[in-house]
Amino acid sequence: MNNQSDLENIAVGDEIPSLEKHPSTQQLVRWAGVSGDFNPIHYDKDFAIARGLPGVVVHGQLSTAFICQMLSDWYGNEGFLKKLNVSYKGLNFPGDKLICHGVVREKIEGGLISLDVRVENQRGEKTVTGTATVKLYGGD
Amino acid sequence: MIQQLKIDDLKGLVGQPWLTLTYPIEACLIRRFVEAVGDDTPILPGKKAEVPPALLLTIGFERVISMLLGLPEAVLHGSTELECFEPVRIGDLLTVTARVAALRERAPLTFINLELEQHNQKGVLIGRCKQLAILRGKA
Repeated sequence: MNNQSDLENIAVGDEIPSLEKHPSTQQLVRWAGVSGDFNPIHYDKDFAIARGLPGVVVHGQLSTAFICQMLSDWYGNEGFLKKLNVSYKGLNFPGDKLICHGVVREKIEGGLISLDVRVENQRGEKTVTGTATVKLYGGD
Repeated sequence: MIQQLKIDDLKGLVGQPWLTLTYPIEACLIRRFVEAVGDDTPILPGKKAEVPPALLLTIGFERVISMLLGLPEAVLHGSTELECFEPVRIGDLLTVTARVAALRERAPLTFINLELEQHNQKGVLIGRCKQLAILRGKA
């Protein structure tokens, strides 16, 4: 994203650059440390299994942070995340290949762009889905 | 010391102010945050040096989740809604107010809607984060 002409060139249905992530158990520990979410289902395999899960699972909020990274990689210095709304539809696991996607769903007056966003794993399962609204500077 | 809760305690908190917390936004926090996300290009060198918006997902939530994890039920995350009103910058001091917006039970699940608002040192509302926590009782 560079300038006003970029904004004008954005069309409904455009897909923004995707972001691929490979969360590891080490990353989950790092996220637990910085986010304060020490739910044992994210680092203790025995605990997770005892709670009916297949194993340790990726924090939902970390997946959301991946979506935020994808969005900020796209708008760069030229925008601001106004709103993000996501639902956690499935579980992500360490070692998964997660791909974040964003598709422009609406252009709104004032430089606002609404996007459908999702996280998809290597099995094609949409584990996080939602919408985002980005304000692009220069669109006023 | 984290206060230990029971679900009945949470029922009594619905609609009431629950927690007020303050967080200085320091460079080392942002460095640890972006390392945890694996973001190689986090703080943009442009006009504002804003911190990543995803930081607001965590500010205040760490205390809330710590308290929920004291419950015997398993805690799962249903959804997240984040609204950003103003950029956050290193050096800001954020005050977070958390409340239980709603609680409903559908055995064996309990759905808890949490709402956290973040104000900066000027008293400006900079973010609002709504979280749906799902508690699942032991089968």
